Amino acid sequence: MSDNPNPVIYVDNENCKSFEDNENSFNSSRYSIEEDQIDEFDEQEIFDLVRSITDPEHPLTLEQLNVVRIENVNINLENSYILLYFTPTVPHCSMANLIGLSIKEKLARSLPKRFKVDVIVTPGSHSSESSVNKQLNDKERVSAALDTSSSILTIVNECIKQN
Amino acid sequence: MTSNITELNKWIEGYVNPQSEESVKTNAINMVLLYMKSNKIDLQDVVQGLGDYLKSNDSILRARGTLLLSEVLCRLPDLPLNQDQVHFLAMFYCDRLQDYACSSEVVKGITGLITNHTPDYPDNQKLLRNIFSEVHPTSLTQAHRKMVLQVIDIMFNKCLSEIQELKNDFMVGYLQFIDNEKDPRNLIFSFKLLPKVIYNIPEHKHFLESLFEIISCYFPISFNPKGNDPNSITKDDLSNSLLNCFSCTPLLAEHSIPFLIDKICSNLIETKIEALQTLVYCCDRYGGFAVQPFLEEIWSTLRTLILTHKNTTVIEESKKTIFYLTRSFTKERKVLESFLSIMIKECLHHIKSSQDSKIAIYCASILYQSVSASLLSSKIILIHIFPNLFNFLSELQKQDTVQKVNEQNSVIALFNDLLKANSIAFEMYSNENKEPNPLEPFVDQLFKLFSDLLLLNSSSSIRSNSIECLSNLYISKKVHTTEQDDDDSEQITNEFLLDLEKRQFIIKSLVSLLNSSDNTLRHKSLDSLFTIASNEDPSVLNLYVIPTLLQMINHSSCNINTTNNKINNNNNNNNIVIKNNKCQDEHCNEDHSNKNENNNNSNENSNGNSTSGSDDDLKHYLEAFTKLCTHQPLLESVIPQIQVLLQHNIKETYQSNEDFEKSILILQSISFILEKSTNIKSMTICSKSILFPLIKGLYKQELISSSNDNNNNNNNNSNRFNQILTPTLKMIHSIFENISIESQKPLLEKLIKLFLNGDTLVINYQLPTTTTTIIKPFEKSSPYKYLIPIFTTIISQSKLDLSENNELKQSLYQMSLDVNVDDSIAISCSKAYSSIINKQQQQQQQDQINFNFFNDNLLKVINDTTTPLPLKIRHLDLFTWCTKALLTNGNSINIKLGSCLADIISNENVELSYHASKSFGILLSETDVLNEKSGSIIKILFEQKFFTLMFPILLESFKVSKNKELQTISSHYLIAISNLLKHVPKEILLAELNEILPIVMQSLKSSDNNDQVQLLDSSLQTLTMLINETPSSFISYLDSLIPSLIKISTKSTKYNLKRSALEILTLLSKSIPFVNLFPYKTQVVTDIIPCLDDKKRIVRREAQKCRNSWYILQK
Repeated sequence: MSDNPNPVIYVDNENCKSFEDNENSFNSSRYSIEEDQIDEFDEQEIFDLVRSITDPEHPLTLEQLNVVRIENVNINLENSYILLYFTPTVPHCSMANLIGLSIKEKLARSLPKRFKVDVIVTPGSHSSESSVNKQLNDKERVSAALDTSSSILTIVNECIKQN
Repeated sequence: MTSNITELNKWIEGYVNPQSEESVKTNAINMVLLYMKSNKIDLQDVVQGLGDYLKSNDSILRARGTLLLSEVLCRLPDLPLNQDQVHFLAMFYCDRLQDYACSSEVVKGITGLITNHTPDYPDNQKLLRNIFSEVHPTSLTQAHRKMVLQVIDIMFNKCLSEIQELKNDFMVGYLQFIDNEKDPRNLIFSFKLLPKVIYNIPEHKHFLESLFEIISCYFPISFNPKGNDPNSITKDDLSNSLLNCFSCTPLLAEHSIPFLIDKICSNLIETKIEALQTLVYCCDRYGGFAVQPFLEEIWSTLRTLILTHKNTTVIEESKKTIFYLTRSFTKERKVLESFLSIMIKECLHHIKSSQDSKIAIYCASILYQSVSASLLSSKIILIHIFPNLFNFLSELQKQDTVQKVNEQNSVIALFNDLLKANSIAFEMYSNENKEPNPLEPFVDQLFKLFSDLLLLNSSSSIRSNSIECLSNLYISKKVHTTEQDDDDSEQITNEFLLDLEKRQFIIKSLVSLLNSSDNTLRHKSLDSLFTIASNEDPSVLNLYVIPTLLQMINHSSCNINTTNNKINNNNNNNNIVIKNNKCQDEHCNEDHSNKNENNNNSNENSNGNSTSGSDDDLKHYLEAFTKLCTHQPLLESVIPQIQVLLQHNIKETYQSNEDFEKSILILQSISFILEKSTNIKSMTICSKSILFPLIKGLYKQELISSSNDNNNNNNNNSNRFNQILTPTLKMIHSIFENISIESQKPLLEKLIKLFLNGDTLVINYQLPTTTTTIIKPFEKSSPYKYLIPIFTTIISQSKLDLSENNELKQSLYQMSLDVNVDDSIAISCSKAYSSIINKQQQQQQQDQINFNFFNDNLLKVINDTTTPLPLKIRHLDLFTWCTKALLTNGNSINIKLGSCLADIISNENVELSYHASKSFGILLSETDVLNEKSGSIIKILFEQKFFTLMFPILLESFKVSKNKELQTISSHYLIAISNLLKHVPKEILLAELNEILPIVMQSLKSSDNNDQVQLLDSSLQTLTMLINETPSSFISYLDSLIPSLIKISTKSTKYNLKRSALEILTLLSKSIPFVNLFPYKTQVVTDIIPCLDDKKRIVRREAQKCRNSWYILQK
């Protein structure tokens, strides 16, 4: 049985989609038109990458569950460093590792290699915060978990999959 | 006579002798048959001739002899035989069955005998008994096994009672014959025969188990027919006939239901689904009582599937199964009750106690299915569930913590589902007997509950759910009424469960929410109002909703920050206002929730200006009004109000820009309402009451804007006129398009007078005394040219043939070539002109329209090097539209015109060439003119015909120009081709694919220096379209396609090209089977990494999407 069966839902699904797939998005100010103009990476862009990841046990996105918030995304362009805090829905959430892993993997697939990405539990939001953080940022553990033969990979792919 | 016998013996010898050649044998048997047919010899002669062979010790000779006799019986259906002879033959075959060597020949003979003759009692019995006892099924070939089954089938038809006497013996023999059959041809026959056996032989009861054993091993049927199979047996044929076997007697239930339940639990999804479908069918055929012992088992299996299975198809199918089972159990009330009571008990338990929202949701969907299955089931469930839910909800409310909001919500959502399901059941099944609505006992309680929730609860999601419940409650009716025609306005038998007072209460509460700042609430109440409007009598709505809305629209002002140049924004952006609003609102909302502190900034970003509250109010009310008016009966009753609105908003002077903005919004809404309406009746009313005042209003406007010529205001005024014109043209278009030819005729006559002669009195417009001239927009120097689109819109939609009116044609022709007017006016004239040409009667066409006309007048100018470019383009446009007109009505010169257009592409003037290539997009596309609605003559399959003729021409020109290294021109030809392809039906596209694909692939390889950007761009677009249409055709091209796309996406200098290439890669990953994609996975995933760090955000976004999609290829 899941840890938090009836989570509070924060934003409407419709709104989320319409923002993503808005037809005018190409013309919107976030996408420059001039051939030489450079769009730098920013928090919004990182947030757009992780907002649509789904929770392993609910058909809801991390944005809807308030697990990720744009305020908790930090980006340092000079050092190519990204720090992202995520907030499990309940302090004893056993899925925290999996959620963190999904976020990490999605970012690894979507960002250029020059970025160093740290994914960390928002301080004070989880009972075993340090162990989750340790697991998530241990390269060997992560690569073992995401081995092709691993069943975790299937779950992570399921979470990352965009509808 | 003797000579015949000698010859006969010769042929018999020739046929029987195993050493004879095949042709000799064939010839011999044919001669025997011919002689018998012409009565030169008879059966007796043949038997005598065969005598020795039939008794021969050589088994081959014996078999050949028997075969000859059998052939005679099979191939001569009319062979005259008396009963003695038939008896003799039957006995002969009975005896022969014991001869193992001839068994198949004998079976053939018996088939012939039974098919063409009727042996007396008890010869049939004997034959069958002997077949069963002497012939071993495995010793026979497929064809002969089938013959045995055929014999049984024929005997059933001819001498049933005789066969029935065989009793158990028949069953034993029969089972032996159908057992172990593997050939689909026999199986299908055997499956079809089985129900007959069950029906006719009562002794089957003793053999049910073995019978089921035999047929169950075929389930589920897995069969892949070969393409060249002449029998053309399909898997569905086999499955269906097996299904009939399963369901042919209720006695099979005790074997089949446990078996099917076992199959439902199988690991294979296909098996599960098929077993579920079979279960539904069988249970329906068996009837409730046969199924009753298994109810609990069935329920628990289905429940487990729905609650725990991961695959959505399986869940959906299980839900459907519950629906159908409930429906078929309705015939037996007791069975239904026991089935439902298990279900209700368990669902209630889950809903109340379950901590897992998923399970509660699935239980709700189970209840939904069974409530909607029948009226009786709805009644039983509602009586049990509702009281429980009421109690549960009030318990939850007492606890009243924030945590419980979600739970309360799901209970309310369940109420809503049940209301919806109940109305489905009620609409579908209460036609015959006037059963009361199962909802009736609960109406008051429900009403009180939901209205309290709506008014008193603080949670917005609970409120919005109760809105939906209220609207569903509202439209629940007391007795069922079948839908009636619109003409029958007398019928107001819509008896709702709620009385008028309560209904008015609901309406008032909903209207008060229409300007709520909460988007969800607002949308929900609008949707609910619309649902109500579609079911309620318009007069009730006219009591409160419409007057209130109109009042609010008229009174809310439109505050718009005038410093922002929104006017221009609106003008460029022809989107319908409602759509715009939504997007903007959602943007706002999104921003609100995300970045409260940046509220103002984000607002400015998304809207381009800050909007104040009252502006939103107006938009909300307009949105509501517009949506409600899309309900036709209501629209009809509101037309007078719309007319008043129009009059108020097209006025001579606007107090301020805000005032004007508001008017534009209102006009846009009205145009949207009219566009949505296709009802002749309401549009005819509009044409009488709205059309002329509208045109008059526009005339006044134009007069004002052009009279202020020297004024500084001029620019502003004409701008305003254009803004008013856009929505009003749409209105005129919709009105004129939908009215009948009879109503069009008088209007047209008047309008032609108005526009060509300047007779303003036809629209009751007395020119102001200050104006000295007559308004004739088509006159060369007329300042009133902006009025022309009104006229052309109407002419284009006229169903009348106007080609006799030369003055009209001439005016349009002149105006469409005039370089001094706006493009839009010239093109509207071209459209009107072309639609007149299209509608010309055939006879005149022959005389007047010939190629020379176009050649002399239009093409000459276009090809003349001295003509200035703008004039050329005007001519080209008119030429394109005329081509389209003649193409649509199938005129024979259309292909000639088309190839002229193609020739223009090779013109050295780049701009003209590009324009011509773009024109091909117009030719086959759907437009607002030259369509069915506008009364155009449309030749059947004209697109196909034109494409097949035109495509090779363009292709050839493309190749020629490519070979000559004329990059620009060849890219223009490719653009023309892809424009043409866009509008061609898929079937044709597929036929030409072999020609198209190589070109596109080749052009992908071209570099993206300036010459070829367009070529590359149009190839990428063509590619996207083709992949969307027929992904499978690309499988064989992947090895060259994928590297080219990767190259473009990483090396191109144009970000748009990169973006398109990445988009196509993503598209490929989603539309081509896993096996074909897998070899390229690593390549794509690694090679597009550079795009992840592109300087353009849009490229990064596509790259990210593409890479993620390739990472998780779907198996």
